[in-house]
Amino acid sequence: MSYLTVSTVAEWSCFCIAFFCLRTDKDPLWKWFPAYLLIVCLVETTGIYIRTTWHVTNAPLYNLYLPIECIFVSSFLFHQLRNFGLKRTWLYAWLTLFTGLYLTESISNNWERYSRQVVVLMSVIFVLAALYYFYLVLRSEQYIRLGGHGPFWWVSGVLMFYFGGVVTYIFFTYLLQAPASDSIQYSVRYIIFKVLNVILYGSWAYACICRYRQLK
Amino acid sequence: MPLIAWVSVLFLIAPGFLLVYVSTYNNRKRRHIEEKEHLQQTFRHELLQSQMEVQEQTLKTIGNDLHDNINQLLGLVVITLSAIDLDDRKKAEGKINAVDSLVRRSIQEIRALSRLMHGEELISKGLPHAIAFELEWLEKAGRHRIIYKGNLAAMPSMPEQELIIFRIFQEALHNMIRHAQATIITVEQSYEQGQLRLSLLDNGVGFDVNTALAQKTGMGLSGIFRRAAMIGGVADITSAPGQGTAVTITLSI
Repeated sequence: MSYLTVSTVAEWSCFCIAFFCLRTDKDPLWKWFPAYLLIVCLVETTGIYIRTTWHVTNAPLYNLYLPIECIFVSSFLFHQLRNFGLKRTWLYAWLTLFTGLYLTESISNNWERYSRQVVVLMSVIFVLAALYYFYLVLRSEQYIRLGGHGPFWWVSGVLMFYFGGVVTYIFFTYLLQAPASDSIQYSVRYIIFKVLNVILYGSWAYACICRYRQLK
Repeated sequence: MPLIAWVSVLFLIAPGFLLVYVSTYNNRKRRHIEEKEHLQQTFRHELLQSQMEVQEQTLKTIGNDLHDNINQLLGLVVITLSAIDLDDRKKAEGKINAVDSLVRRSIQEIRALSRLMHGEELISKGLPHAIAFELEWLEKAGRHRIIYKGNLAAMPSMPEQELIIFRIFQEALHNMIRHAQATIITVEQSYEQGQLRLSLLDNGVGFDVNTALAQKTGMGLSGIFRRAAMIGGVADITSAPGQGTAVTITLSI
């Protein structure tokens, strides 16, 4: 049983960096970011424990974690888009839609499986929000030095992770119907998700460093 | 590595390309902002320079006037006073009256000079007023016949541009006075359908514009073109040896 996987190392490293960099941050969402990362790390570690010690699927655990992920990432993205004038109604509407679909899919799965359809929808929404953020950054008259701008790297991580994730998921689901070696496909998908995790937590860690430098 | 993996990698690098695009566009935006700031700074510098040159020109005019006019008048006063013979009351009375007249003229000249010294006030009253005052001063000197046509009554107020136009006008006018050996100077001005047009024409010796521009003869010709372009206008200088000179400034407002 090894808890030291690429994902756990990336997540715990990101948590440590975030905890150090954001410990004195006054902004509520940045301040709560390390707490969210701690939940991510605990879920990931518990997931490994359940899978390797109890030898049962950890899908219900990840399914319970899904609303936390959705609420935090949505709130953070909205927080960035609000600076460009996005109304709060959009966030409430999306969270209401998510809650409805999540409960529907989870109940129909008896809370035993991962709500994949909701995850795909959530990823699409996050990708659209990230693209909208980039559009607003480009359209803005004000110049932002992107290389050291925390929110930009945070949103970039979200875009790469969820775009890569949703495309890989849809692409592989389609190809799995064709006669091919499942073992190869699963291993490739596993590697891709590891890479996406490293990109996401790498971007988030760098965003925290940028934020720390900005406030210093 | 199977094809499926390569295709996946291609999908994964798509957002990367987007980030590169955003970053490149952002850098261009920064350069654009820097260029805009640079242009604004250059404009402010040119405005300040014009202001200083107008003041410098005013001081030169004052210096010349003090030397050529008031100095002469006061010199005459001294000579006349020293020639007064108090025993010859009749002649002395006539000379004292002459001195009185000379002193009164001197006072008038000094009053006119003090008006000129407030050069900035001159421009703050508007371009038409500043041009009229400059021409009035020139006409008073009596060396040139001034023909003044048109008016700019309908022109909206735009102090920064007006200062630069006035400086161009002043530069062109003083070139005509210094170099052209002209006897008649015609100034035509108009403001129609949002377009300002200001022309100065003389009947002087003229010059080859291209040669003067190439040789940088110190007539400030390149400055006239540069300043006109800076406020979005166009300057045109037409001249040939023996055929006088025409300087025209047009500006859309």
